[in-house]
Amino acid sequence: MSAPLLQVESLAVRLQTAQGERAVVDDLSFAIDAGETLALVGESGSGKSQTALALMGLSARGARLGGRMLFDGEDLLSASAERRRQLRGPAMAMVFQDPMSSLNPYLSVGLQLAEVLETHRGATRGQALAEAECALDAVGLSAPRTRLAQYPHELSGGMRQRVMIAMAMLARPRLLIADEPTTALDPTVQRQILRLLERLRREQRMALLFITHDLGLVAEHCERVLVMYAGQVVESGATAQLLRRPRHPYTAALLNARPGAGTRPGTPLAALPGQPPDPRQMPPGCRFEPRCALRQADCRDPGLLWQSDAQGSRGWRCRHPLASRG
Amino acid sequence: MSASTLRRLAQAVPSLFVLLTLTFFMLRVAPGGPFDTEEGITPQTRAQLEAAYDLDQPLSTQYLRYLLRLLRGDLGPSYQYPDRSVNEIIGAGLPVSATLGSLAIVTGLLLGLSLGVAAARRRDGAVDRLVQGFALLGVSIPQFVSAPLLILVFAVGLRWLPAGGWNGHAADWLLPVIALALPHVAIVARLSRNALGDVLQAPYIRTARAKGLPERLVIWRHAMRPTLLPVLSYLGPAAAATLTGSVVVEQIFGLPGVGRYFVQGAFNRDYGLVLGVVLLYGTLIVLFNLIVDLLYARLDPRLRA
Ligand SMILES: Nc1ncnc2c1ncn2[C@@H]1O[C@H](COP(=O)(O)OP(=O)(O)O)[C@@H](O)[C@H]1O
Ligand SMILES: [Mg+2]
Repeated sequence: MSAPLLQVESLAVRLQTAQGERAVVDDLSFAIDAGETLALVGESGSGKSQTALALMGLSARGARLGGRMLFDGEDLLSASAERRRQLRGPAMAMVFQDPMSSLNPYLSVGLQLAEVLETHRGATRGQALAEAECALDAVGLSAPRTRLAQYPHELSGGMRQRVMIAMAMLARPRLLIADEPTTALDPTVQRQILRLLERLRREQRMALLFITHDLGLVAEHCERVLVMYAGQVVESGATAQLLRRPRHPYTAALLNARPGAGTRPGTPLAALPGQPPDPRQMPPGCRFEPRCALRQADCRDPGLLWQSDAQGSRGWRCRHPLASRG
Repeated sequence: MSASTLRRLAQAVPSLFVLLTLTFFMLRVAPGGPFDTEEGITPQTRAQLEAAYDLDQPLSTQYLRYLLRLLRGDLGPSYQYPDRSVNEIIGAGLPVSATLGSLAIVTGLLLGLSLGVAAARRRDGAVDRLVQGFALLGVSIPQFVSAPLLILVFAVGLRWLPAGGWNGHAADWLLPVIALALPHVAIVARLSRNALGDVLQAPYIRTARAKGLPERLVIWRHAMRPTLLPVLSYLGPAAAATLTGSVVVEQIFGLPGVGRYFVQGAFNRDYGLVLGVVLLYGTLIVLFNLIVDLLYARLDPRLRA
């Protein structure tokens, strides 16, 4: 078995805040193979975006990172800032949630695309613009040459997200992180964007880390899932298995809370009763325990460990997992 | 020049007219007259002088005659310098004031922006604190303190530079330009530091970094335009004021600029001279605000119609 493209071991992210340091990601481990699609699911605030930014090397100033991140065998946390910058683009790229604010309103679309190739391949402006035009065509934008001269405010939300995707794909990244890329878009555009990502991933054998809070999208598009809660992964496994037979009560609660039993796209995680824990007072044991309908006396005890099945393909962070068949 | 630019210029004419009219009548309301300070002047001589300058006429007549002359581009005589017209005095002083003033504004922009960028790159770092301290000092020290201090240190103490005067040497310019530029450098540093600090938090800056752009491009290509907007809003009117001469700096360094004539004119009730300088200042304000608007549209595509 060859080594995965990206291997993350016990990643921890601590951010500086006015009230002191705050752990937003804790003991997070996973791996992605080349060409694979992995979903990262969780409620808002569970640490999905902070995980993505840590992978990209874009954590806020003053952030402290722990654990290990290996990209193609290279240790990212010990790499220099300059080396991390060189990796952003050709090795890993990111598409952000809000296409409205993620493009620079002061610069033309053409320049914002061309500079990727100028930076990473030393292309001239002319070459870069020609290639940018092809890239816009590949993401399904009409009249790509005209678009190059336009500014973001002249484009619709869906068009901007296509530009963002074209931009991320320009340097042919081996891993694309898409952080809720369709949340800000209307449902028809959502589907088009997802199909586009799927097609590009297949054509370029690119790995995709797909961040979402929409379980329906996960079921349709992703081979494996990580479920995050309060900065930790609480369950991981192959999508079909995990959705059909969740082991962690949080995953089960998410599935039950969904209106209707099916896993259709467009049905976001419904609100569970209660609130995620205050990060300043994390429960010492299971972080879901205060909201868990199945909690038992020992759930509060510290020292809760990650468990996995015999093949190591499924895992959960729970002392009393749901039965594997039932 | 576009139609909208021409329209903007045309719209400025009424404002300038109001400014002129208000200044004209306010000068006359103030007590005293142009020849009050002349020593040993007989009532007859005084009457002759006043007649020569139309001052014996009703105010409305004086006003109309002034306007008519102005339409021909003539700012009238100076009462203080009988052999020189206001046009001549401004024509002699403006090159001095405008040269020093534009050097001071350019210094303010370039140095202030560099300091602001250095500070914003690491907010609350050592450089930021130094720049903030300097900016506070720069805006709070008045020029009647900073100018003599500069002379004391660099001319009297170190003897590097002349203490004042205007002999056509580049060295004569240095201290006055520093004195003139100091507040601009300080204010531009503070404005750009704050603006850039905010801009660097924007999502599109994160996108620029996610593309792997070097920090140099992130700042000078992606963050500079929005940073320049507040700086330009300040520099437009500031340039109009600085190019028409600083009263204090020109007095202290003994420079023959517009500012020095302006104070003397005000003390001596030299109505024509004061009106001429006010008009010049107003025109420059209009002009520079127009330039700022045009630059805004160049910097921000959303403002281009
Ligand atoms: N710049 C920041 N400083 C401090 N805390 C932050 C910052 N950004 C996000 N957080 C906190 O980190 C946690 C995880 O945030 P995030 O990764 O954005 O969640 P998600 O993407 O899953 O919605 C949240 O509790 C959020 O409040
Ligand atoms: Mg997020």
